[in-house]
Amino acid sequence: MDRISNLPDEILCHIGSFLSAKDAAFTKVLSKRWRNLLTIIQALYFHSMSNCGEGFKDFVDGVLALPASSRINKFSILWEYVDIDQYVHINRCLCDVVKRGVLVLALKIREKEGYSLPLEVFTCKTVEKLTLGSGFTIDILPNDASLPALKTLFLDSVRFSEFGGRCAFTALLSASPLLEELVMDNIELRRWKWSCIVSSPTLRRLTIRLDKWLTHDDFIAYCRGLAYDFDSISLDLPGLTYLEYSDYVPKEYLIVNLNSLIEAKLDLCVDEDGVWNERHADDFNPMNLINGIKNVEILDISLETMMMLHVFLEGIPVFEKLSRVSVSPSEFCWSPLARLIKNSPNLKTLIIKGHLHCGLQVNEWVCKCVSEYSFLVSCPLEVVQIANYSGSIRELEQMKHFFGKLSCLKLVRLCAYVSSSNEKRVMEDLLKLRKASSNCKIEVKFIKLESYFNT
Amino acid sequence: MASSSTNKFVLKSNDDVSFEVTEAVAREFQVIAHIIDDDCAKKAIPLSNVTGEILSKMIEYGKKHIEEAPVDEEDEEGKKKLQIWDEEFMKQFNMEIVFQLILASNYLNNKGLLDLTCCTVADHIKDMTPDEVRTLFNVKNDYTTEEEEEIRKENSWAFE
Repeated sequence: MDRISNLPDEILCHIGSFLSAKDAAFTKVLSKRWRNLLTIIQALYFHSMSNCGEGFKDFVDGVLALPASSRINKFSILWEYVDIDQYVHINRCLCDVVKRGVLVLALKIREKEGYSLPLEVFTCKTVEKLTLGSGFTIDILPNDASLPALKTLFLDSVRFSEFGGRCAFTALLSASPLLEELVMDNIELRRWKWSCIVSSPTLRRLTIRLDKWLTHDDFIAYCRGLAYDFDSISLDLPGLTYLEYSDYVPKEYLIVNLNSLIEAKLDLCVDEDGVWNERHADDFNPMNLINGIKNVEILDISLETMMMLHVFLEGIPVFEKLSRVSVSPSEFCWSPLARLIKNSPNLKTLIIKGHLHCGLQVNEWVCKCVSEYSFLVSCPLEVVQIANYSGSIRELEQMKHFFGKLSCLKLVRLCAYVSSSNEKRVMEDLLKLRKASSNCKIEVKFIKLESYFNT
Repeated sequence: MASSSTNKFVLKSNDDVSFEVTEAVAREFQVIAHIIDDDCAKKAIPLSNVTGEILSKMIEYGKKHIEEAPVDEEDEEGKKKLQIWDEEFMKQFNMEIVFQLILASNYLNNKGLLDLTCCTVADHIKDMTPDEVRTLFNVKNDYTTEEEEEIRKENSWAFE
């Protein structure tokens, strides 16, 4: 007996009004009768650059007038200069859309004042990818908050607060049992009122990105300001494999459970200029975090992070599994890098995202901080990449140590900014150097200075 | 006239099973409420599309929703309790019974039970492949292989 198809269309549509857009699409292949029973709208967008709200009310009315069984796959409102009068229509629309089996939902407005998300967003059973921003605060979640399908959450300049003694951020993570990726752009953790705990058993990728110079009206907001009352953060993320973390550090990291971490990208600042110095050691202890990531295989550290490690040099742990490290050191002292390389017995690839560090004094070609590059002796490095090489005598002096000491070296890849007339000389200089490794390839990508300056 | 909690009505299924219910429970079903309002409910109310088995379950649902109705809109705890009871209530039925409940709640017009039963079916369909859904619900595939391929292509985003 064809039981479900015996039900009248009206009831089948009613059943359909509880399905996600994806499940509704599945029903189309069941039989001819089902083919056009449920309407699926692939994407419904309202994107506006102006603050004119004329068209928006029609858009919302149109959405609300759809039959209850109409499913929406992707929905987004991107409206930077939204007028406060429109908040009520935005929320009317969101409340309707979350009941339409939506899988991808995005709301990006620039909040002026007093915008609150409708609580219905936090009970959407179907949304898999949610984007929210910017400028508003999430200060309450409903008691029955549940986002059982949510896998990816993007937050842009969103703040969190507390409600009835509960941390809204913690409540959101607890309501998302399948969450795999969390991206937080331009967030200011130190300004939240929250539990200071990031905890999720399922999270695999976490990005915390503070864009210091862009997108905010108020530059002052980005100065650390509240320097010393941002006490701690705990990261209890046992399934996390990727961490990108760019923010001001708290005084300490209480709990760091990142035991599955494979890749980490760190840009840790102490103040608005990112200038770490010895006196910070009295107030800050970020090394619990560094210890917590010591099992990573891939590590990328910014200049600020290098400066931080310089302050806490003796605390740098052994990175047993580290195989690739990228650094952007520029003129800053290389002692933390030297220590890192020394403490990484399985390091295969070193990527220098800038130029080599040369001696700063007139007659000092190799800086004291690298102590004659002794850390390269017996280092298993196979690949060295340098993003900015100009072939100067000082740089060649550094290369001499790399080639002469690294006995496992297989490939040196340079991006050289030289004039065409110098290309041959730069290549010959490199080839002439004594090599500790018998089969080392040199790849030089010449970027012609002429064209570089022309673009 | 007696109040709706003491006033009793008899509902009679199509296989001649009678149930005595209070007026409040009877009014949970819109169609019966209309019959009462039209004063046509002197004797037993015959329900030609509902079996005794299904009717007894519907009355059980109606009774519960009268007795344990949340105090007001703000009564989160009351709502939650009833929601949990609803979930447990549905667990006892196979799909055959669920379909009969859908048809009966549609016929007697009880929106709460219709939503609950339809939602239960939707939950069954979730995460299943179309073939599994066809098997479970016994839907006859009347597409040719080419036609089905075409539909799958049109909706390929959902089949990834």
